[in-house]
Amino acid sequence: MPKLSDAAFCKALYKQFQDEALPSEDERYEPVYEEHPDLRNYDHATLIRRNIEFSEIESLTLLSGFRGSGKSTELNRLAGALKQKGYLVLQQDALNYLNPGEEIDIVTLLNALAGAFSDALAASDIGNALKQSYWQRLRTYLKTTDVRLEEIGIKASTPAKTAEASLKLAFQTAPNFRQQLRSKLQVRLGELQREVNGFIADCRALVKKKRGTDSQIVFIFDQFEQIPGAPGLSSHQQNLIENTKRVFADYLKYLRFEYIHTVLTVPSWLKLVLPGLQQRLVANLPLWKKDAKRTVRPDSFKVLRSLVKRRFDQVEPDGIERFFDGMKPDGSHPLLDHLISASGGHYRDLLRLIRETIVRAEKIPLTQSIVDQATYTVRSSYLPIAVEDARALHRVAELRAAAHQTSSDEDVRRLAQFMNTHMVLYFINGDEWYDLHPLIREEVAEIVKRADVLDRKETRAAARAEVAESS
Amino acid sequence: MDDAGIQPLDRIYRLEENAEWRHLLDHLRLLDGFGLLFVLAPEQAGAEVCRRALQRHFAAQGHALQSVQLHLQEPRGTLGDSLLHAPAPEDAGAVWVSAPEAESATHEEPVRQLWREALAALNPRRNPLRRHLRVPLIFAGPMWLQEICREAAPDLWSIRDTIARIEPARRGFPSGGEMQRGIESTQGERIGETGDPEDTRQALAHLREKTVPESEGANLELLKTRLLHRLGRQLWQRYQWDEAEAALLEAEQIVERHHQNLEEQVEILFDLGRFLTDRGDFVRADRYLRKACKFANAHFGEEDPNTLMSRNNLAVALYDQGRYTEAEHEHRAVMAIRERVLGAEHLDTLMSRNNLANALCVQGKYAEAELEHRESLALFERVFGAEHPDTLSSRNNLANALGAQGKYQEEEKEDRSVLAIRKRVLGPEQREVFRSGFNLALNLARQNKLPEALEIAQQAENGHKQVMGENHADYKNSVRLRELIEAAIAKEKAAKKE
Repeated sequence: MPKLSDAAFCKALYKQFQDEALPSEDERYEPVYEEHPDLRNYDHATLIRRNIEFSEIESLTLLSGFRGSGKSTELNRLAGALKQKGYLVLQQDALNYLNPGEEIDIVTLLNALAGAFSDALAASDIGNALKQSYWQRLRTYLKTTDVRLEEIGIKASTPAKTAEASLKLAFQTAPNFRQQLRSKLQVRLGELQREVNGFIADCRALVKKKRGTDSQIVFIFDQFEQIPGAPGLSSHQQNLIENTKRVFADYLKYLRFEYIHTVLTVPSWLKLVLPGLQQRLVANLPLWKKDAKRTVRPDSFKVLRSLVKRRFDQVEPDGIERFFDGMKPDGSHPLLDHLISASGGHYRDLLRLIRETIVRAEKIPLTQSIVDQATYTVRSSYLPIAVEDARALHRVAELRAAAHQTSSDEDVRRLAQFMNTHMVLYFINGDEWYDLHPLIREEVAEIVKRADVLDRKETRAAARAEVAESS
Repeated sequence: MDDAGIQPLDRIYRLEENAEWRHLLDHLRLLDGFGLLFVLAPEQAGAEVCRRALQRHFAAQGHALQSVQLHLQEPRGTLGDSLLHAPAPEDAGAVWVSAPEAESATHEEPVRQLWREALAALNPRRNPLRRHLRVPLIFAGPMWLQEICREAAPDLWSIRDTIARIEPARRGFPSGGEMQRGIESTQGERIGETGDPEDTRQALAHLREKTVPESEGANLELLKTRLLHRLGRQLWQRYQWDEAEAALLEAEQIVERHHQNLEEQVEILFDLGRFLTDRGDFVRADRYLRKACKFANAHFGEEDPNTLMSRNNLAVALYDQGRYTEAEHEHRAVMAIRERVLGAEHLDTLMSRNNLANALCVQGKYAEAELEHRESLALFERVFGAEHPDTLSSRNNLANALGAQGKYQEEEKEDRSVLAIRKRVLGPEQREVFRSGFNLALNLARQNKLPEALEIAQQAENGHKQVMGENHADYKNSVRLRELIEAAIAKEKAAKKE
């Protein structure tokens, strides 16, 4: 194969480092958990798969992870592995059924789950055998309630197929209709649950008939964590926290479907407001130890070097050598290690840093200056940091824990915000701990130091002024 | 803004020379399908220049730049609908989303709120966007858009590809701030070499022909070095690059051969470094700058003022090269030594603190930069008094840091204060007064206080012309600023007529 020109090489590289969830069995996938002894117990795709295999009958898994931690890639892996083992895997995107930013309630969520399940089954290889979709069943049920379907254009004379499509569309796109469902069905929750379970039992029977009696169904409802948005200070956002909490604290049993293995992604901040909730968190790769010096962990560097190399290999054998020049036999290179260090072990930031170097590399091999510029560019997206935020971040850095000063909404919001923006990184290796993203560590320390000096000066000046006034 | 209004802006922004702009185009070239990019500019005009340039860029490739404008009057959740429910743009090269400009700094909140709500509503629709758009999505707005998006739309923010911060090519207060230009007096004087290079050439020619006894040879070489050094600087100032480089290199070779005047040797090495930086030859520049530091360190010691000044100058040159992290590191190191050896209130320490603050500011570490500036300004005021030139420079730099954060009213207050004191202390016809006037005019223009901005900008322009001449960059900048303000006034008038 002729060698690519530098420009073509960089273009191909850039594509390899674009940020996207990897499909199962993708060659770029780095077996992080297999290679990393501490994380072997946190290989969620494998653990969930085993849980499903062992529990045999049914299960509910809540999976969360901070942005860019590889959650969707892990779910794709899980789906791939389960399919190989003969499971019928139904995977749906919650964003197709729920209105983002809208408060979550159990009525809407149950309908969304059943509707998504129905659509996924209809799209599967046995879809043709599905006699009645959930949307048709829901229409029949709603006729027994005082929900007014005329408002969404469904009359008694509307043909079944048209009515089904209208109902689904109204549920997906019309907030007023969802509000009507919510208010009318909240008091009939038991009924609704029976309808949903009845539908799913029918589906289960169909699957048994078509795929054999041992056949099991796994339902993955992905991206649900994005629905409630991020908690904030406004009253709307406080309601959002409360309502989401209620769904998972009071109605969790409604989300367990008989003979179905359900995997639901949930917002990572739920951990802060509902500490007792059992959920699996996809953690960050720890590049350093939880000790005072933040001792570097060579095993994590090894994993990330290999992750980077895999993507270079997709473009050109030994492409990594061409780009960095002077790779050592152990796969290390000072510039590559600099980028890995700067990423804090956060995959999305690592990909972003490498993309920035590719864009800036007018000539290859790479130089220190290009790496510095790329690091500076990515770093500056974390800035500026308000002094009060810096103080809270500083506390996390000192304690290495997600401690917040008070349990007030503001403190929870702040911490959730830090995690959302991965200014605070989450780690598990035996212990569960937190630390600042390395790109902002120095900045935070400096801001706090300077702000303290200023505070002391202002206090002294105020005291002097007070003395002067009293004398 | 119409084409007539944009042309002077094109000259101010000079995108073709802007590295951030080039990187943005590279990202657009390399992106395959959807991407999320941000174009941040300190003023709406900058974003508009970028939008038009991108329009041209895509038109040359047979594509269109599809624009989506947020409106204050519209419901805030409609951005997602505009992007998702409109047919996927088949021929579009990218989609450009912008919002109206705030009427002034005091009326900025509605625009912030508009962005906040639009982005928050779009945030959970990240994946549908990725699937539907298939072309890069560009959000263009003020510098604070970064923080708004980070807080209101963390999911979107999380998948950003890049952020291009597009600043005008030359501004009254370059992003480094005034302190970088003048407060380090030994450094400032060196650049501003006066005198006619022809006279220096003749003196050199005379010296080269001269035959002297061997005992006088060393002195002759020393003199020749000085003349070559001077000639190099004079030619550099006139942008006669090749001849300037030849003179400086010859000076460096002679002085290295003879080692007669160590201080001069450090200065020549340093000047070569800065000259090459100015010329864009960063690799060689770096070599000379580091050599100067190493040399000073070896001969004068780590804590010697010459060494520290060299290191400070290296840091300033690193700053000029855009190597802000290294500049910050170096400034911190120099400041720490100066603080220990000379004390926190020594002028040199305060200079370091100011330069450090400027390096922080340009990296977007505004909070820390502002704190540093406030602290050093307080010290300058206490030690040297409120009217000392360095105190005023410090105040000017604080204004710069405030402006960079969009705190235009606070910036205005500081700018007015600096201008008033300089006028009173120096008299109205001084270069520093015109520079302060320029900064204030720019600040007022950003706040849409256009008539007053125009009046002050015209004064600055006339003053610069009179004092520095028509070829000087300061004069050219003030002409550009005046044109920009006039264009904005014309646009406002036209809007009123409509």
